[in-house]
Amino acid sequence: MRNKYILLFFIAVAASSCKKFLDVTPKGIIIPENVADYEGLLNAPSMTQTFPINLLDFADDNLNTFDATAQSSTANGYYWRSILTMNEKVSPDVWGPLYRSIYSANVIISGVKTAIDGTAAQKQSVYGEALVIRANCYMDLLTVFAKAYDPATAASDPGLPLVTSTDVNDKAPARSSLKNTLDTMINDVTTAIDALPTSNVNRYRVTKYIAYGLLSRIYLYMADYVNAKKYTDMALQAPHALLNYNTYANSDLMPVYDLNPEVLWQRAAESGSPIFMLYSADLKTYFDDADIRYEFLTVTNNNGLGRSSLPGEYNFGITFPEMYLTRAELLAREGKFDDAMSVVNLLRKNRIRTAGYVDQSATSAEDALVKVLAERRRELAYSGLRWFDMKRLDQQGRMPEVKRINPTTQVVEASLPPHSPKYTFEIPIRVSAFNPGMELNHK
Amino acid sequence: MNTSLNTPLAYNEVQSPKNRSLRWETTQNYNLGIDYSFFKSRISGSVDYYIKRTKDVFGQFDADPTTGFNQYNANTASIENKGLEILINSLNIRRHKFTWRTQLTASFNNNKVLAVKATEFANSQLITSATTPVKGLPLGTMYSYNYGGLNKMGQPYVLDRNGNQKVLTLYSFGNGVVDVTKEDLIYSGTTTPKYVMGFNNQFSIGAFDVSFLLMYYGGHVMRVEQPNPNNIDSWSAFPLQGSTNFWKTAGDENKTIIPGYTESNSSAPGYYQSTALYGYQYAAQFVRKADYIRLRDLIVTYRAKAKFLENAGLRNAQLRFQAQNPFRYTFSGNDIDPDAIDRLSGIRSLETQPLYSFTFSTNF
Repeated sequence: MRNKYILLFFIAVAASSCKKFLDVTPKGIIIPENVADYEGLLNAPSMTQTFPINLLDFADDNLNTFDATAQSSTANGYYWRSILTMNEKVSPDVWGPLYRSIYSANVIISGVKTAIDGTAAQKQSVYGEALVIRANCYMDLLTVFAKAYDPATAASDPGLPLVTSTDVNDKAPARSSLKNTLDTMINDVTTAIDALPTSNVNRYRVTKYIAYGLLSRIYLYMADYVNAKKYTDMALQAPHALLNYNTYANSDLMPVYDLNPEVLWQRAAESGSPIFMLYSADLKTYFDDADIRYEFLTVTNNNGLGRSSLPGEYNFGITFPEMYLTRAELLAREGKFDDAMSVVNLLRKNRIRTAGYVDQSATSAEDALVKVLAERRRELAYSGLRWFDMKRLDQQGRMPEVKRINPTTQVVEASLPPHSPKYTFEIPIRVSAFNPGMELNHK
Repeated sequence: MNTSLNTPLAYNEVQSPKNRSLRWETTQNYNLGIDYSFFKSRISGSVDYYIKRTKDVFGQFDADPTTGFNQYNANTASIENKGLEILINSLNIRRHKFTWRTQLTASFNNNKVLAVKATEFANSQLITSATTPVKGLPLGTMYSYNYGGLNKMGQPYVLDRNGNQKVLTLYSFGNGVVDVTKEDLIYSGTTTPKYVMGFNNQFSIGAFDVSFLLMYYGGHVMRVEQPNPNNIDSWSAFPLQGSTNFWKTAGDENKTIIPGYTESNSSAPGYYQSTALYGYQYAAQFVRKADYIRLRDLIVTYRAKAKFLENAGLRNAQLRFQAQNPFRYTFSGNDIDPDAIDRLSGIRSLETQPLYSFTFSTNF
């Protein structure tokens, strides 16, 4: 036999480990260390596009129609179903993006003070901006995932998990009480004020006046009218102007939101837009032809009366008209009904056609409050604040039952009666899956 | 006052969150191999045996959205791969006008998850609808529900380990109420093939060359999507045949296991949450073996040597016919192409289509 055979035999053992590579700084990626690195975060989408667009679906301003089996978050929000996001694998609506913004804020809050350059004042200012944005995110979250503020039960009602860690390995803390959540927000914003500038590079970036405006909102939500008034007045000390709609031939000629002197703080939405969202039958009753807002801010199409917009990136933040209306509301609540109405008239002069304009007056504090709230409804339609208002007004027994009526069949598809538990949405499924011990809203 | 237009400002965004527990992925590789050749190289090939242990495998890890992220990169598992790879080349016949060569490759892989970053999910829907690594089991783990069918109200239910009927709800966790746990689920197998074999044959008969390659994949499983009227809108673009045969009224539960539409009013007696449909969609009953064999390639070449072609100045004229994927056989039922299915959800896509081509080539 001349069979030749070759055998090759080898054993290889390999193990690799190299600690040194861990210390290499990757190109094009920053590990924040300078003040400018942290400040750059403040201009990022996660900190400027913080408005959760879903809030528009919940409001009584909105009219929509859905397939009977629709389980999108838009449909779930519109019908106030307790679970907003059915798919437990995706980042849950409202909660996911806002906690993502809170993460960015926490990166600044935990890091900027030890930045390797910059003055103490610069660091404090960037730090303060992050505190205000985080508090604003918590405010939006509270209106969705916590009960309305009731001073009698707020200390025991569940609020939100107050996250401070920036390490993803850390477990989310338990839900803080509603009172503690709000106290923390107030404390953060108050702490921030001193270091904040009076003006900033654009309207998305935080100023002292924005901090006052946010405190005005927080105290209004808590029905702490003394403090609400204090901060509303302070916010109104910011340089501003009201635009007289009579002086514009059409809305295209009005300034973009970025340059609009009525805007105190700009907040954009990450995705979605109120453009073409429909006015509910209820909202339509608030307007007449003399109201220029009706002409400038709506568009009629096959589906009905849709929302329109002023030029520029749609703003969901704090405006000076909002501050005026809050001042008017607080005056009415104090019993100063004539003063309240003169604030309302100040705004209305700029909104109603001069030809059809007459001053409004009130006969009592209650009458003034009703008129102020009606004006608030008109001015702040689709501004993103209606759900916030519905929540606090329901707490005071000022919200009638809201019904979702199918415009074709007239069938009542859902209803939100006064003091309904539906005013609070459930903690998202995905969050509960990770935190089985987290307190739920609907037991 | 802020008057500047929102000019695009440079910004920084967090791309990946801080993670103090990141470690290097390490691999230990043990390899034993033989290259051989017999009978004047008529038969040659190699045999390899390997054990590969990878620790701290880097991968996407699901996160609690409260941390700000839905997923992040982490060291998720340690995995052991053991396997055998065999290659046999043989020249079976060599005659003047006829040769036949074959190549056989076979690979057998057995992998096992040695350790895994603690899985946070107690929720059965997350276990059945994902291939989360499970300690002691191969990668690509598929877990399934023991689907029981429909009750009198048309609600789809699953059976737990004691045979109790459970209509799945969203909040099967958190409230202390657990519909079914992992122990109630059925381990269906792995979605990754364990065996891969290739068998290539080359013949040359006179002026003809013929070759074909057969591939075999086996040892894995797939779930096959069932008709489900609820899926028409969301997952599948088209209704599967039989979708109309769903539960419509009491008594239908004896004739069909296809759930109908739920009541739109959550207080209606027959109402069920969309979660209940998981029991049907991810049922063990619809899992089958994915073993299949496929003729990947068939090539016939004719080398023309006709005088008149050469006289016309055409050299090396070739006529070639090629068929790609002309034939496939799935052992558990030939209606399914295991290459064109999401093996976990069972959603099918367009089957691999055969491709035929004729080529004429020449030099001049």
